[in-house]
Parts: sequence; C-alpha cells; structure tokens
Amino acid sequence: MRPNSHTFTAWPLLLFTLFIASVLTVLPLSPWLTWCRPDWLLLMLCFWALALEGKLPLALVFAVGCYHDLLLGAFFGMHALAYLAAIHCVNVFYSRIGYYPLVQQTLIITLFVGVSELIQLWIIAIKVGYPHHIMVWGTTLITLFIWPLFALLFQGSTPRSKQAL
Amino acid sequence: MRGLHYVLWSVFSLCLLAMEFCTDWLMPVRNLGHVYSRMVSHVVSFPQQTIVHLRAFAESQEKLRATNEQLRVKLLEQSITLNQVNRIVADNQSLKTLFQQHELSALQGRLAKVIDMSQDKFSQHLVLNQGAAAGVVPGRMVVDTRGMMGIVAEVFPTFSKVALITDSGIGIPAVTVRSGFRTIVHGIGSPTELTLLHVPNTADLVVGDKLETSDLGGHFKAGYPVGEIIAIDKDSTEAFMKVTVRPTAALYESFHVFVLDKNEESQDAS
Repeated sequence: MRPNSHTFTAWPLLLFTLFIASVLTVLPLSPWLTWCRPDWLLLMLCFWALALEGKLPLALVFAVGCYHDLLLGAFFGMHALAYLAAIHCVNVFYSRIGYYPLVQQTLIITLFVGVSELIQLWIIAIKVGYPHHIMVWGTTLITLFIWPLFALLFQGSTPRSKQAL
Repeated sequence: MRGLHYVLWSVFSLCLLAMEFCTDWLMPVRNLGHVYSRMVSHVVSFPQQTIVHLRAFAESQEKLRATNEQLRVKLLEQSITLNQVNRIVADNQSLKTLFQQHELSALQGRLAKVIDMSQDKFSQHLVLNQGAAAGVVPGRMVVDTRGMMGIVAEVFPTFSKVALITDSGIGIPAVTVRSGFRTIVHGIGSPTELTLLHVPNTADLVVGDKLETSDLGGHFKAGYPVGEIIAIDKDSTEAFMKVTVRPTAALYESFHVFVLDKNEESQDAS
C-alpha cells in the first residue's frame, strides 16, 4: 500500500489540498446552504485515490474522517467509516473510473458520495433519529455539479492525474 | 490485502463509534477537539468578522444618533408596557395565591452571546460565550426575546453548545394556547420547520394555533412560545396527521440569548 517514489513527491500537495478542503468544510454558511455544502474532504480524497491509482492509504482516509468528526463535533468514527467505504470503492474501481468519460465518472463518484452519506444517515438515525428532510441528500446532489469542476480544475496538477482522470 | 485493510479500519471506526455511544472515554478528546474546532472556526470566519466590524465602523455618526433616538423611543414604549405587565403579573399572583397554587417564579438565568453556529448539516447547534465557569449546565432552556430557542447540550469551561429546537434529536413538551392540547414538538433538521409526531386525526388543532412550552416532565418552564402551526395534513387512511410548525424564536438571527435556570418548582414536583 506504500505509494511509489513517483507519487511520493505529491504528498505535500496532498496534505495542503486536504487542509484547504477542511477549511472549506467549516467555512461559515447560512443554515440552508449548509445542507448543500459539498463534502470537500471526501471529494479531495476521491481525487487523490484516482490520482494515486487506487493506492491512497486507508489509514490516511481514517485519519481524515476522524479529523472531520473533530472539526464538526460529530460522532467519532462516523465520517471515518463513511469515507472508508467510499474510498475503498474508488481504490478498487480506479482503473475503470479513470477511463470513464467525465459524465460517467461524475455519476459514479456521486454514487460513492451517496453511499458515504447513507452510512452517516444510518449512524445519525441510530443515535438521534432520522432527519425527516429532503435536503439531507443535498451534498450528494451538489456533487453532480462540483465533481466535473473539481476534476477539470485539478487535472494536470499531479504527476499521474492526467492518466488517472 | 486491500479488502483486509478496509475491514480492519472499518472495524476500528466501529469500535470508536461504540465507545462514543456507550461510554464517555472519548470525552477528553472531544473537549480538546471542540476547543481546536473553535480556534479553526475563529480563524476561518476572520474575513467575515472583519467585514462586519469594518461595516460597523463605517456607520456614520448621524446614523448612530438616529438609531439611538429610535432605541430611546422604543425603551420608553416598552417601559410603559412593562408597567402594565407588572400590574397583570401582580394580579395573576394574587389570583394564584387565592386559588392556593404556586406563585409565579421570577425569571432567573444568565445572558449569553451567540458566538458561532455549527456547520454540521446533521446537527443544528449554536455556540454561546458562557460555559461551566459562568454556571451553565446541560439541559437548561435557552430563550430569546421571541421564544424558546433550544437546550444546552454540551458545556465547556468557557463556552457551551446549544441544540436548537430544529435539531432532529430534540423534542420539547408543548401545549397549544387555544385548546390546551398537549404534545411534543420535534425538530426535523430543517432550519425553519418543526413537526408534531403521532398526533391523532381527531386532535383539536387548527392552522394558526400557537404552541408554548409545557412543564410536563419537569424539565422546562411553562409558557414560553415554541411555534405556530402552519400546515396540517390529514389523511383518512393514516392514523396520525402530519403537522408542520414554524419556530417562533429567531433561531439564526438572535445574537443575545437567555439561559434559564432550572425550574425549582418542577424539579420538586418531579
């Protein structure tokens, strides 16, 4: 699972992008917009999982998930579990996803984000009750619009992203 | 190998969740996390705060004078109204004494300022600048000038988190002012809507009914406005009707709130 020497040079960039994503995660928004806030950290992890050809360490994913929980005061392990499921899927299917056209890639990433959201909703439903609100799927839906921009913006920023994306 | 790693880390996450749900072993980490989160939030909202401060600074002296004048007029009006209210309270207390009921307890608590808002979409929380050092304890009611805002959920030394009534984990015992129908108002996660769960189709509720807190259960003080019924959806095939309530309090606009002390009478009763 160790990234090879070629990808190792991208580590500072990886950590910096994750930091920026975490800042976007806690950027103050109005209550309605909070529901539509993209899961920046998960999208960034998806991007890096593709860029590193499915070799993104799950330990890092776990750590980022816990960090997200810490930032938002969510249940410890909730985002970690959800992110692990989504990124494991990306790690397994990276070669297929990499060759998909952008629209198809967006749909599949949205599906993975949806899986992550579903896991979070299950945990929330167990502990505090299901939020009876259609906007709980806002993050998943907004991924449809964000991922293409995300993919295009970051295309070429890492050594292997041109091949992966 | 990849699958094994996934299972291993997932099990680890589940263990963390189990610890979170069943024990308070992670509390020190959470406390540290909240302090860190507050710091990050402070840094992130710095540009926004700077703009707010600059805007306030840019306000002309004349505008401030006009605002001051308006506030003076408002104060005068409210002082006159307060005199009338004092008279009504005195009458009410004498009537209650006459009927040998509990006397009205004076409003006791502490003023707090809203310093942050949760950015987690699954929880509707506010952060207040008063914590354990100021005597805030979990479970206390938080109200603003319009009505009930929420309950103190977590307390830290210098700040506290308030779960708003719109949070999906919150239920408030309430009573309708018109018909006296007792119910529980639940948050659904929406910032502008609440709901009443398991209300029978035959319940005496109409659109426009006002709901206020009830001291049933002994956790809250009675008489604070909670919301107003804005929609009732009755379906003859369903056992319960769907009732939508709009919160009365300015949940996201109030900057100053009041954390009420425990209702001693209710505590004794419970």
